[in-house]
Amino acid sequence: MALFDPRARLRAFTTQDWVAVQRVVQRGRFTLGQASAEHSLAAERLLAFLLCLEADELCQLYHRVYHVCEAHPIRTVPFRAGLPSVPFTCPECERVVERPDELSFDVECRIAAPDGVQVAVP
Amino acid sequence: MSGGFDRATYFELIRVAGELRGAEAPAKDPLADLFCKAHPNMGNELAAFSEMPASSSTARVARGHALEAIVALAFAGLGGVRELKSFAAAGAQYDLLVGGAVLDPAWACVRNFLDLPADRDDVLVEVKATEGPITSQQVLRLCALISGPFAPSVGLGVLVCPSGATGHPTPGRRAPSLRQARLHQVLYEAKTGTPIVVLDQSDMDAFAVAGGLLRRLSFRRRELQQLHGLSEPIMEGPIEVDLPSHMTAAAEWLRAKR
Repeated sequence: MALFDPRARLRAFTTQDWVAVQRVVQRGRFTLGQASAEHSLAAERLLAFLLCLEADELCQLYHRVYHVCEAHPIRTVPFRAGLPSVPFTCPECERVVERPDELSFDVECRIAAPDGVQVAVP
Repeated sequence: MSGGFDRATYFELIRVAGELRGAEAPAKDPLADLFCKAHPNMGNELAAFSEMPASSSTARVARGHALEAIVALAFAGLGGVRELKSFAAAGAQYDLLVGGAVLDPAWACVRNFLDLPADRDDVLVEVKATEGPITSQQVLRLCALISGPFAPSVGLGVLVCPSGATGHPTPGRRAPSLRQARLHQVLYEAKTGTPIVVLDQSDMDAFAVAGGLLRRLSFRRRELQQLHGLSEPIMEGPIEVDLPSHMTAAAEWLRAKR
């Protein structure tokens, strides 16, 4: 099992935050919106943790791109590549997406190690 | 309606998360890639520039314009940039002024990455396609511009020259002392708090990869603070070793899988 060491990062985390992120990383794949709601952890706190996990190559992060036409994501792009530029043709409704406000986004996390990540709580 | 966060909320979430996280090594920081895109044609532009002759005065002007275009393209890839200006008018002439939208979380991330003060977050860029390195006088000219007409708005000065600047380290040659152009950069930052960094050919090569410009600006800034005199960051995976030859044993022991 891979070990995550926060080192000098995440100094603002409370004991409760650490307990919550330990529970979140038990799952191999999740989205920011869903996991933060399920584990009662503010989305920005969970994302701060995920940014550290990604930098340490313990997970892969993606942007999930949603269009107003569908409830499921129309695209998933690597986090580092950035959000897609408009205009582009939506693969679901085949309309041209011209304005960014037709889109919404979420972060998808895929834990790299098959047996999960152990978090070294400072 | 679909799931997820709208664009403004999403970027704000990323900004707050970046601040909550605290310092990350620039080489690994995913936010550097996210907020510094590389233009798809940058590799070709750089290759074409390196082939350009500097034989006649017309050729030198064309070379200067090509480098200015490359630098503008690189800075246009930064997240949240709203202002990109270059003109000669009644005021002092400058090559490029880069500014971001105050309330844009993407620009706030760039600002945090470069340690720019919130009230002086413009970047003034001077481009020199000369064959020789940047001289003390050219650094002093940029200092005068920043202290003069741009004092209220500019928080970082950047000089771009393929040959670097005088007194600077080069690949394989450490700069052991503080002199010439590099001395004036250090003195100016000590006096005013505004850093002036020099980007050379190795930094320009990094414009072709996402995050490259931000990482090189950040590396040059830290070099001026620490004055370690290296032209490239020393990173071997997660290990950073910079030791003289009589301490080789410690370096080898650290590298060995213990």
